[in-house]
Amino acid sequence: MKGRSKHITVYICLGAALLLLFCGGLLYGAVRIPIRSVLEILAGTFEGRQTWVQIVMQSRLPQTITALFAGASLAVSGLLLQTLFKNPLAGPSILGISDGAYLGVALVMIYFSFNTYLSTILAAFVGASVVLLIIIGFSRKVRNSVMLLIIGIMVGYLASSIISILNYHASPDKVHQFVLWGMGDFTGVSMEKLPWFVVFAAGGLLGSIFLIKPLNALLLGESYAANLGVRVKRVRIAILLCTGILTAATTAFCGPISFIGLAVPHIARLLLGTSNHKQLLPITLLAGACVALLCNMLTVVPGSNSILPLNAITPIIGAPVIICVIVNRRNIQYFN
Amino acid sequence: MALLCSCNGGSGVTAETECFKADSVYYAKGFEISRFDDWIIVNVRNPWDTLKTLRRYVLIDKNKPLPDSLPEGIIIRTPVEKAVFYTSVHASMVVQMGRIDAIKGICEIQYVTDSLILERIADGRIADIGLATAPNIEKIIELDAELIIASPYENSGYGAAEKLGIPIVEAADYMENHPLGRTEWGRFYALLFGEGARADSIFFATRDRYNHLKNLAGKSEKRPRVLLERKYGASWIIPAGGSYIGTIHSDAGADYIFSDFKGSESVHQTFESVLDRAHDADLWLFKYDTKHEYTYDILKDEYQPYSNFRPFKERNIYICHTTKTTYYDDITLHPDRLLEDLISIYHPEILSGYSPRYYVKMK
Amino acid sequence: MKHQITISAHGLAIGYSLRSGRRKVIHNSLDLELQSGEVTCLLGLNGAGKSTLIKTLCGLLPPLAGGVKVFGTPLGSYSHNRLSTLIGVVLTEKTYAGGITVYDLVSLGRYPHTGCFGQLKESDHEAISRAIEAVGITHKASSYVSELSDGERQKAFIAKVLAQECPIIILDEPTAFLDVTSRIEIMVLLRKLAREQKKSILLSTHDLDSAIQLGDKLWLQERGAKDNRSSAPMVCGTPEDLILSGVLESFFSKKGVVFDSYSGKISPVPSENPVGVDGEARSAFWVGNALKRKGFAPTAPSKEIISVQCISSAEFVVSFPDGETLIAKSIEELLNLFTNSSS
Repeated sequence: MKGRSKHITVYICLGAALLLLFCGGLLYGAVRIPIRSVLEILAGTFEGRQTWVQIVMQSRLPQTITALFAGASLAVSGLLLQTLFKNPLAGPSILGISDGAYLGVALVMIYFSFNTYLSTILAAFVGASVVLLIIIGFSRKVRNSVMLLIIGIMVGYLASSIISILNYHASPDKVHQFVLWGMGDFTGVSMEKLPWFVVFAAGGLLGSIFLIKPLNALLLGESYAANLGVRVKRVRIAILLCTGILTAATTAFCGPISFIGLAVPHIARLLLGTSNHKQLLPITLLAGACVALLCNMLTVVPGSNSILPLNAITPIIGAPVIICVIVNRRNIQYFN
Repeated sequence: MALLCSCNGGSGVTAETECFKADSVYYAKGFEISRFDDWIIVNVRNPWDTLKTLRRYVLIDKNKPLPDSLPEGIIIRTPVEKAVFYTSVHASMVVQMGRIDAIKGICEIQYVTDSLILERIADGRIADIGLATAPNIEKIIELDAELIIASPYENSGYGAAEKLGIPIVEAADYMENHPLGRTEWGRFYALLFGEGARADSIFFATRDRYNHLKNLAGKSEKRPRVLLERKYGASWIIPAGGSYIGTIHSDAGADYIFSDFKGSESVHQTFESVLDRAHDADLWLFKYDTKHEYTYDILKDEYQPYSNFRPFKERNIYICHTTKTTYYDDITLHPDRLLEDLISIYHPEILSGYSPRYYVKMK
Repeated sequence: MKHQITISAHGLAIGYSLRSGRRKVIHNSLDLELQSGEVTCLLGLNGAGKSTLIKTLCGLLPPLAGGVKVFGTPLGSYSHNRLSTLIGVVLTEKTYAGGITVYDLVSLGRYPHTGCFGQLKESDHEAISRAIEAVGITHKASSYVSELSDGERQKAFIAKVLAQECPIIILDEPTAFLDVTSRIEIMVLLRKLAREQKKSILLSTHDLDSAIQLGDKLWLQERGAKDNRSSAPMVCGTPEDLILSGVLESFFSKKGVVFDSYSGKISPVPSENPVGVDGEARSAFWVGNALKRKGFAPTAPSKEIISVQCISSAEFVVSFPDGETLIAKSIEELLNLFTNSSS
């Protein structure tokens, strides 16, 4: 079948891109380390500057793995929400979940100024979970998914306003710290913390794979899906839970990262042509990982002393994609 | 602003008819003092575009009558008796010159560390004006303030305060790169309160002490390699060599590792760059202001690769809590004290028996 | 051939529960039955509540009173999965399936039969192909749903329901946007499914012609209850019975519309202008049609009124009461004579 071979091509290309970008993340950085040395470090046979070993194994390796999982998590989370709400502009930030995480961290950093690593992560998780529970609670009462979307947006605004108040009263130092956290950062997860992040991300990703079947049914709308045997309310909660875990974990460990959740599902659809989640979900996962790895590499500008914030780079990749999609609306089948 | 001063259309200063003498300003680059017969003119330079003047202040003695032709600028009748301060540091400076009675209101009193001021806040003699970004205008009016001293920010005004008709002194001391430069602004503020001579002598004493310490430190042969601050988010913010921090650490006799970063703007570096360059530093100093005290365990927990740095391994890290100590006040008022602290770390043999005020060894 | 009662409802009240705890009852005390091997057409004006009834019968809306039984067991006691193998629907709702292929869409019908990842076995693929073939869109199987015409899309959704392999199929206005040939194709297909596979089919429609021709039973749904008074009960029966008993006529007798129990058509109320029509049967029928359109009422010829004698399909003799006769060679000519004479 013609469609089949196209899909296989996409899989192969993305897989190759992923491998390439992963290696790129290990080989390229602010400090110039020769390729040969990096390979030797990975093999364990390197006998040279110890700092290089530390850089590759303790900084670049966890960073790259974090970016991979974070990108995949955000992209899949965005896809789940776009299908659930039948809205191509939905993303992990739209339900206010990442705003909740933001608020949790703001409270801890600015109000309580209790700034350990653990407290930041917990605060982000708790904040995201609280918002998620609110949304799920409303999900039982509200029949229409569009209404739920609006509730989520409003909750997000509420959280933002509280954050503004906190910022307003905080010292410049604290605000600065908080702003830096808000720029997004894959480098904050060290090797020993990494398993935690990977567990949550992998859990969410695995859960989403089990949702492929009902997601496809939901493309037909909730009435058809119910007729096909989908327990719509339960599936809705499952989707929200998955997306919540993925978003909360990523925001907790990496700060809020914009655009990947919104743009990557569209990239995947453009590559595949189909909205069938059986292919769309895995491709979204791979594409998200690739985009995150690419953005991480782009934070280091070659030849310059300085680095760029992550959240400044993600829109540079993401915004053109969205614009391209909107301009070509007529030609793209999944909008019709 | 121009609205506030009573501009008489006078064209300002002519060199021949009025004799003036310019005060020598030694370290501060942000202001100039010119004395005339009937008034003193202080030009505050625009810190973001040093060729332009930000403000010009014309200080005229209260006891003398107002001259007929006034120069352009914001007119301030001195000595000021009721002033409102947006920052506690400036208020502390005024306390130092013995004019605490002139302080009627301060913003953000939670940052005040001076006990004399705190006493007066407690018994109501000094009012709490609220946030510096949104001060209580009605309170300022109620206090019948004659002057406001505030820190300027690029491209931002002062909101409703500008419409009060009260002169606002834009205190750009925090933009100075040299530690003594900041302190020297006290000489300008002192003129507002009529304590010029006193402030000068305090300044000269501080300056002399500072330079004395600097010379002592300079005599020492070894210069320890020093790493500063920490990683926040994706970047390690490195102060430049020409910045305030870079200067004071170098003056204390340290070899600041990133002193080759010119200028005064901080640079965002990746962790790996800093590790690569500074992994074998002799000492590591950083500031923090969390509720809990930092320890090696907490630092390692925050980011495990910190433990690769030599100062971590050899337990040579010094930390300073910025709000529990008088750090922020003292870097403006008493940079010599900070210098002393640093010298005691870098060259302990010079100052024996000195107990540190700001930086303590991390546990 | 024994017919089974597939869906039955007793004392059913349908409507909506509103937020404030109030209920909007559209119909109450409905007693209905669907039989296997039959096509039942639900007729009613817009706003009568056809969609509500359909959604209640297939379990998408809860009944406000009474119950629905499927194969004798209450609908509520079936598990979701089991129910999805018994009842399949085709609705009018907007879907977002534009981005998947027709094959993928139809394969969604296999949802109740596949495992947790939706893996399709050989038997599933066969069912899908059969369904696609049955509706006649095999040539479009790998096109995207958004690329289909309205008729093809409707067929695709029907194929999906066929792939679901349910004994009961319920359709909400399946022929609404279709062209004439597609409409007939669909109705014929549904008939075939009922007859050959013994499926029980219920569809709501506005297409009176097809309903009368191809429906085994008609359900006539009046406008819903107003102000909580009881609504009129639904009338059910074979089309011919309903026509001959005059029920269909009274159902449609509103506002200038009349159901003609001879032709089986709805037409505007006939005027009082009689014109006699006689002659060759086929031509006479169509002359009558044209006259009606012009505001005349065709009837048996007589000397007092204008009469038309149809010699052949190209020769008509018009006799006026005053004895004058004219000949027209086409119906257009004929009509011109009438308009000229009346002016």
